[in-house]
Amino acid sequence: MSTKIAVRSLLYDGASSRGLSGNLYRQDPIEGVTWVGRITVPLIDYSSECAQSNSAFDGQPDGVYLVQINLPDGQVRTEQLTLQQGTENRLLIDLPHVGPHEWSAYHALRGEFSQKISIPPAQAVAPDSEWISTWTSHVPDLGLPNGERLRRAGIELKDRILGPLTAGPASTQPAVDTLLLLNTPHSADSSSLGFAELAALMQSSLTPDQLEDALGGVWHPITPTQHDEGLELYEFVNAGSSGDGAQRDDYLDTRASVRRQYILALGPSCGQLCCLPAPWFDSQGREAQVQMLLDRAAGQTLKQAALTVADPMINSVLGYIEHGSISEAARLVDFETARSMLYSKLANPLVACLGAYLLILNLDRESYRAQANDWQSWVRNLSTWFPWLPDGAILESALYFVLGSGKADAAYRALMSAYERGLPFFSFGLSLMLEGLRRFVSEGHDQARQRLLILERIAERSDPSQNFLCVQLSTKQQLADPDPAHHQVPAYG
Amino acid sequence: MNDGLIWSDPDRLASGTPATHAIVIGVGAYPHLLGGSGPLSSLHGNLHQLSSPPASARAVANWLLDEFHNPDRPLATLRMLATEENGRPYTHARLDSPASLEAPNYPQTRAALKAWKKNGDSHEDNMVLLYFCGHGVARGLEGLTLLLSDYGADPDAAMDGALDFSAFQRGMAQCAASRQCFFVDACRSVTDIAQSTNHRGQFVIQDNTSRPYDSDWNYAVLYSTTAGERAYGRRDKPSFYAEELIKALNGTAANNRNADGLWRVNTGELNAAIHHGLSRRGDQIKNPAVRLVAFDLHILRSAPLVPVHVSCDPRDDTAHAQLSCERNGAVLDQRAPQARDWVTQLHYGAYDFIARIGAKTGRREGEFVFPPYREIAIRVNT
Repeated sequence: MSTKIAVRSLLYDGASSRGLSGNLYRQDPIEGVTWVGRITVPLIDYSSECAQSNSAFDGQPDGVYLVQINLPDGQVRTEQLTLQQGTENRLLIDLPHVGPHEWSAYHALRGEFSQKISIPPAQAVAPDSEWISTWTSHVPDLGLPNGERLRRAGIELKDRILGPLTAGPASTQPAVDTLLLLNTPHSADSSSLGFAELAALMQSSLTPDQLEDALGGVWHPITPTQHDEGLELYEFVNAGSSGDGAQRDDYLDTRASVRRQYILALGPSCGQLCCLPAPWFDSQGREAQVQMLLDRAAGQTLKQAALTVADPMINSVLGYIEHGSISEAARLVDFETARSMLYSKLANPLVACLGAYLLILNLDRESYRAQANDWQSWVRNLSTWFPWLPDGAILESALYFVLGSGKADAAYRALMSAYERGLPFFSFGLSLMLEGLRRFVSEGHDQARQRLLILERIAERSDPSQNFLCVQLSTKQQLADPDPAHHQVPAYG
Repeated sequence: MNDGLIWSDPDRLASGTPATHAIVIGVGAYPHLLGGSGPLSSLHGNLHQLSSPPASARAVANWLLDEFHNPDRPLATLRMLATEENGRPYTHARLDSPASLEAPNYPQTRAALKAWKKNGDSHEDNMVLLYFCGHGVARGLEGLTLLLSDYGADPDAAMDGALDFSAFQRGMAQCAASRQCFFVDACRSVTDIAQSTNHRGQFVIQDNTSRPYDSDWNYAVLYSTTAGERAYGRRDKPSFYAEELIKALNGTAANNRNADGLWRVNTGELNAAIHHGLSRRGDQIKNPAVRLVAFDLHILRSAPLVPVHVSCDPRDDTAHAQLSCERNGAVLDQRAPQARDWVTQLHYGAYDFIARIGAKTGRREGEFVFPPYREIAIRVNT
């Protein structure tokens, strides 16, 4: 007997065996609902039937079970499954696509377009039957174009709803005029975007027009791969912007020096710099595209740009983090997953960093201590094998000042090395750098004190709503609220 | 000047055993912000008077006295600072007499926080809880300044009436209590206040993350995730954050994963439940960079209270359906036809849900309601 489960969404050819996380409960008429265990389930495209056998059900007695899946947008989906010996039990759960376009599907899955997704009902099902709980009727893949396939599945592409991509205070910030990409020839050139230079730029009150020259390097305008009158989708691989012809490289050696990419968003009175998380490889070893969705209609700056990776597992992880479910994120990219991504033939150090960051974000000291030697070993490898990666060195240092492992001298050297490698990919990396520098300042390191002052300036201009580091360079913004309604006494601040 | 103490358990304090020490701060009146009673600060940042924080502070204090349950660390002290227009004292059945609330200005807040920390220092297994509701000013990735009631009182140093929360929270590494939970119910507006000065507010405790104790520093900071200040509270009522926090503590964040069958609330699931609850209230701030140590905060005294969203399938039928919730044939609750989903709250357990449209009936029988919430859609036979 096996029990197969999958959750389906609009993913095109994307799939992940660890797409979503949740809990499994046994429902008993007398005892009530008792927790059986954690569960991770595959996330596959609507067209797929590839439900996978789920070990959480192994050895469980016959009965009624409740599968509670945590969705990346913060919602919870609960489905019932009746287990019966000698039969194959199968559960396919279809998630509704909510959003204006199929091409924004990854962002839609993370809840960029809706505050509340209505959940379809679960249907009673007899054991041994194909149980498909769908938003609407299910239609198998007939080799149709995606739009047609979606339409036949009865899934409506809804009007764009509910405002800007990233909710924030009402703002008069003007729209972005230009998006420019800097693709450094090799990682050493990222020194042009070092901390001290950036901090100096912030103090120089440059106009956005002057920023491009001041930053150095050759910046190129980029073309969206998809757009409508308001939304634009930009896609990136390590070679550059997909909209401008850059191709994936599934054989990129990440241990060598790689290109680092930065986006510069310029408007009449704004200038923001964003670190692109590339190269990124999915769990199948292919280079995954980094997607940036920009809502020009919202009249906002890059604050309104949502960045994700076209890998279902990572997209879910980023959604979990943004919606406060850090423990769910850590469950998907756990130690074993992060380690295997690092040691696979095509190493994916960014996923490894994400896994290590999640350990620290959702600090489970007992779990760490149980595997402390393994952690120390592979985080040290992450730091030394990828000299272009600031985050690896940050994590090596954090083992000391967060988790209490290792020696202070080595941690200090790692942190200084991280500083010299330039901007971390992840926002949390910058937070950790600050924490480490403060620790070493308290231990009397003068260089740490100098660098802390620089980093604090950059952190004050970094966008806390972004997983990947995004820094506001221009200060010529007017944040006054023109709304007269605002001048009434509010109930809450 | 007193230290804001409104309730304490003398026996627990005298026993020297681990306990929980809480402080609740609600800043509604800002004399030097727009609409205030004093001279307007030039650094007002377009911020106004607030009506929700005192109500929020009272709601959280009530919950602590009525519901908080942690057998390993029972509540031993509760401090509260709040401003209200009418200066109403705080009353509760567990208080010997109504408590006059001190204003949450900096001197008073400093005294209360230091006394609170001192209580926390009494045992490394202690837990300390802080709830703040009022204006917050964000500073990018890590900075948050909380404005106290005397913000702007000194025209030359407006931030003398503010708390550098980020530095204060880091300084709490110096507090012996190994479990620390901070509930920050402030909208974290980015205003020109933050950009016009390098002064980040007072720190109360020296910023220092080197912990001088053997115990781990387990802390969780649970920020409000609502954006802006317009839509997220109602006049003289608790903020949405306070409501969702209490709702989460009472059930939506509870789990019964332990074999003892008790319903526990830990900080991780509490954070997620608050996020989820607020997402149904309006726009959210994404909040990726929050670090949080998961630890058990509270054990429910009774079965969790769980939100249940009942509708028809197809949804259009909901507008025509009489919806009811029953157990053993007895109607527990019901609702007349309305277009919107029926949102009710039920204690954990099994229920029958029935939808009636004219002579037609649809049933979902024996449905278990358990945290964080259930959605029940009923297909009416046609």
